[in-house]
Amino acid sequence: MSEKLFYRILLIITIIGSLSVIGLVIYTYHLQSQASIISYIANGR
Amino acid sequence: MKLLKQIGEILSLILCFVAFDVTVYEAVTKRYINHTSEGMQAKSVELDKYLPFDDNSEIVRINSDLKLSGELPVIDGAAALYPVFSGFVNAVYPAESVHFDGENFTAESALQYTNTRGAYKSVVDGTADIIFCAKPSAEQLAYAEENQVELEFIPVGSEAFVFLVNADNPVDDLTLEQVMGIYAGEYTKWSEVGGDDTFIEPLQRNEGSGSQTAMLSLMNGKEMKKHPLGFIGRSIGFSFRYYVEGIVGNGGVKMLSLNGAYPDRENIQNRSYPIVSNFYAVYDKNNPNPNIQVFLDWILSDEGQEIVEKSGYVAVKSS
Repeated sequence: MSEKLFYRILLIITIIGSLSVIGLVIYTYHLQSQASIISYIANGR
Repeated sequence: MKLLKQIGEILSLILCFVAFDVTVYEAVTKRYINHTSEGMQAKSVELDKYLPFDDNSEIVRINSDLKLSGELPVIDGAAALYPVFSGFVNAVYPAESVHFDGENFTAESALQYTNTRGAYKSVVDGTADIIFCAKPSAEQLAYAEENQVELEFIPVGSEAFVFLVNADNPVDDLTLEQVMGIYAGEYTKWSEVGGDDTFIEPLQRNEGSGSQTAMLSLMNGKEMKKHPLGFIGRSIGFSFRYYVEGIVGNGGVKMLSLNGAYPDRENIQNRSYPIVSNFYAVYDKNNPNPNIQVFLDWILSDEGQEIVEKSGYVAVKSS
């Protein structure tokens, strides 16, 4: 595999991975805004 | 060889992102997922489950000779008390006085529900005549004072203020001193209060909610603190007994005994459970509506107190 192709693949994975992290953070923030204390305790330990 | 190394690096990068996302989801995101219905999430109580004048409603029904007419007091209150005051309305109000559009009570309805914060605002603003709530917060009292409204508080029932933990938490009992120490940040691990070696995450409610006001009152000015690593440990929260047991009914949590007394009706009535507080009918002292006193007298009668008892609370006037 050429160096150019390799770095292009790494870049794409980094972009997709970063988007998934941002998505997860937004989803978590959204859930937090409507979280119930009772559900939170039940879901935890 | 070079190709294998490149593939290895690509897979490692993918694995790093996947591992990060899974860890965040398991440690944080998953805990916020609310398994209750949309109605509960939006309003803290399913309004249609406890509607008056509805055959499918779960409210307590009694036959009363009193039927209010004329200028009907507009009723509002806390989520935890909604089944009680909806039961009051069902017993003595005319059916045509309640208007529910499937999600909310409409403006002309004599029964309203805006929860504790909204209800205290409504009784001061004059859009509600009687509200059913726990004690007000300092801000709610200040709001009444600013608006020169003198609120009257009539105890109509009592309820245990409870502490809850995950059902798998090995701790079943705490002393009042330990609970206050946990919330003051003096105990940061469960092992310090008879549990396992995990951090304690003491949770609080929204400012102005009835239970948050009750907790602030219990702490009596002591600042509440949280260990920064608490979120990786086991949580503890607080609420009112019937809200946890009857309205939400989540089997994933358990209520703790305090000083050896479990918060059941018997221990609330004989006061061996140490934190029992009244809930009140609250109204503007200068409200001229003559039905307010008639309605309050009825609430404190055997009939009204029967609704309090059968709804799962403890009557102030035990028969």
